[in-house]
Amino acid sequence: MKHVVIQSISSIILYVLMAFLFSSFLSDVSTVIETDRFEIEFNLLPLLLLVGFFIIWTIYSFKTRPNQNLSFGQWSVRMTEFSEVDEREQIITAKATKAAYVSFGITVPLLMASFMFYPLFENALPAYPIYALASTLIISTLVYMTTWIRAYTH
Amino acid sequence: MPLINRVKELRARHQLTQGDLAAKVGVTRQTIISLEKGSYTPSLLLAMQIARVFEEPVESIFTIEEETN
Repeated sequence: MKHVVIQSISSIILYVLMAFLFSSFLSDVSTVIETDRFEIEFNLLPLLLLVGFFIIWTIYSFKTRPNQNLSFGQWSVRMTEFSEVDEREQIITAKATKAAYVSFGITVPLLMASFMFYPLFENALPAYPIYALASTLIISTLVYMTTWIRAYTH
Repeated sequence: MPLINRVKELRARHQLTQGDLAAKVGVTRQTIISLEKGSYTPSLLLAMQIARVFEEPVESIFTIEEETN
């Protein structure tokens, strides 16, 4: 259970850092377009945070992978939140994945509807589409984690 | 129809810990705990593996609750 909690929280941190990086990049690009200059200045802080976290997370996750027989190549193409050590965990993971899928069916239409009002607050929050997409991933990961914990401790 | 089982009783009789039994049948200790509590219904394969450890028929370890009434 500890593995699923740590990996789910790590994934959420990664999504937040990605959203921060892309929104920062969007802001930098917008500045270039508005000023009509060919000088590009990038804020490196979000990139450094993301890369730094990603390296630490990759090393930790690979060392603590539930199935120690997996090579790096096999491990790297799997979702690290999944823990399927035995048949019960496989069932719990399937249940949690289903719940996360259902959460997409609820959050995505709501966010699609919220885009209708985007022109009203576009200037105040230009990176809204990036954060909206990140929030769907964050919500589904939270749903996955809570469903997994509930089923595991049942 | 809930499944009831005698795993806890048989495990005690064979002087096995939950960890021992888990290792013998290739599952986690938490799965044995859930199984003994009755909150997890094992697959047929796991039930047969447990039956093999205790050297008893599956149906003498796992019973559908209404059958006992």
